[in-house]
Amino acid sequence: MCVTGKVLLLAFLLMVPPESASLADIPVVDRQARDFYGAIATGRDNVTAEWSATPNPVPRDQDITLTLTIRSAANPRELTRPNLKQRSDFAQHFQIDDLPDRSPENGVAVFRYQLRPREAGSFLLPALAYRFYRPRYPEGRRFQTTYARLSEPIRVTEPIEKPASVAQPIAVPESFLVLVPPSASVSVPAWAWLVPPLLVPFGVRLGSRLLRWCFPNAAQLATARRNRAARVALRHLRQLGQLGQLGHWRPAPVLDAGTVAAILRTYLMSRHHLPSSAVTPGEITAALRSLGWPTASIAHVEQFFLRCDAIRFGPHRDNGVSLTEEAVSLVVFLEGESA
Amino acid sequence: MTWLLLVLLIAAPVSSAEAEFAAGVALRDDAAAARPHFARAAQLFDQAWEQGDPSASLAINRSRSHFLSGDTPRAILALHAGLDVAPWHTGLQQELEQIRDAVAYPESLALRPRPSDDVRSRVSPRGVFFLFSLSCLLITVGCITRAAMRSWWAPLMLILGTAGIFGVAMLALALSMGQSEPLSRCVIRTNGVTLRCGNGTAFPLRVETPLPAGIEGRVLHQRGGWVLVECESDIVGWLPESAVIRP
Repeated sequence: MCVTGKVLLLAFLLMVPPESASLADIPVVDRQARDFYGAIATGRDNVTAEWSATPNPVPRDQDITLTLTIRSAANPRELTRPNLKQRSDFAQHFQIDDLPDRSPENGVAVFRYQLRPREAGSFLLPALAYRFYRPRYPEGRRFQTTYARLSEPIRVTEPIEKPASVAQPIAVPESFLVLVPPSASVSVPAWAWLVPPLLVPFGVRLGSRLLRWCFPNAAQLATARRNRAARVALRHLRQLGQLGQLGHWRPAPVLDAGTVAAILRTYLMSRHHLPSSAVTPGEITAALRSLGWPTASIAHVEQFFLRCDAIRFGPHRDNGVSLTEEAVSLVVFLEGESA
Repeated sequence: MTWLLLVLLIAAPVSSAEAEFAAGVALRDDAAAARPHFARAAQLFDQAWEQGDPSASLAINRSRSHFLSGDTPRAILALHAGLDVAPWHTGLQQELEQIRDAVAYPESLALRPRPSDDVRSRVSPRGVFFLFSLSCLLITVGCITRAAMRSWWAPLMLILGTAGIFGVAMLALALSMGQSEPLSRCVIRTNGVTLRCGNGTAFPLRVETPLPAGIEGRVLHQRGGWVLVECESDIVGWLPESAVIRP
């Protein structure tokens, strides 16, 4: 080629407008073409579309990732995602969800889909027609078509039988597995707070009496002692009288009268401070007189002891019952006198 | 008649709850099967708590049902409700400590509440009443011995009794002043929430460590679906209202 030819070729190249690589430069009517997703080819290579599916085969309850790779497009960032959900040949076998797009690298655009198989089987995905635009070609030939095909069908197997989950026991302390029985209320009613202070005066009075009873003073002690002498004398005399009446004991009358006299003399010594040396009726009378007894009482006592002696030592015979009754009457009389 | 109806109303949920609890215990080897029963028992115990006379035993049973159903925050809240009724109850206190053991407190923060050691957690009304009665008894015995025996220790008993009455009065005052505010209490129910400096996700984190469910706190303020919570160790921050449960 001569120099002139080279110059002419350079001038021709400079005069030819550069190929459009933007979607905006394509006529609007052309943009609406079927199966056109915005791909523009400017170089020598055609735009290619390619499917890949992983994993394959796949169990029915797992997802497949279907990847559409577009190469050699001059405007990879402007490509739109083919909507597989509207394709009944895809949607009848799979539930389709779009996965996030990745930004194109090295002119390669990638679109990913998540496919959930609806049934088990072998499915050959239909070829996806992918049209691209060549602005340099003459009118009517600018749209060209490539097809994305899977080399082998997607095989969906039956779900893998999962082993039955092992039952896990509840791991807690044993005490947590027992209910607590209902407990009585521990609150104290308001009225209960009044009881202790109100009981204080009663307690003081009752306690004082109890203390006096447990630890009597000298006067109380003397009174108790005297009362005890009368009580003992009466008890012995009544026992003596009952035995005589029931016939369990038939003592000699002499002995009986002596016992009654001894009981009464013991009573006089304990209760009225009769000296122990006073044994005979005369001595007893003298002692009582020296103690300042009333004459009538002295006469009663003397008469009783004389009668005892008469029964003991005289010819008169008595069973003793009348004598004990008389002794009881005398003790009661003397207690009445001293009171 | 009214009392009878009231007793029946209270007793019905409790007996049903006990049956559900027993069913859960029978299935204890399979937690997934047992937990629904415990959850139902907890629901019925909650109903009984709302309707009936709250007691320490009911609070423990409520708490155990919630805990076994997997709801530790509600178990903690149930025990706190029981401690509001009977703060001196050692069973409730021990139960609360045991359930706190199940909470994964972060090691970097001292968020586990310390066991309460105030007067209310130690002295029961019965104990105070016993002390009061003992003081009255001391005064009574002191008066008796003073009047009847003129013994030298009678004044001592009178002084001790009077001091006891004074002590009871002080205790009653302390018990009435130490009552906490149960409505401000809250427990975190969502795992992994973080305390923020303000009521929104745009605000920075107060502490970096995510908090586990079961952390106890006190609600200080509430605004726009967020609550300002004060946790143990005076850690204060905002949490979404949905992340906490309150009585």
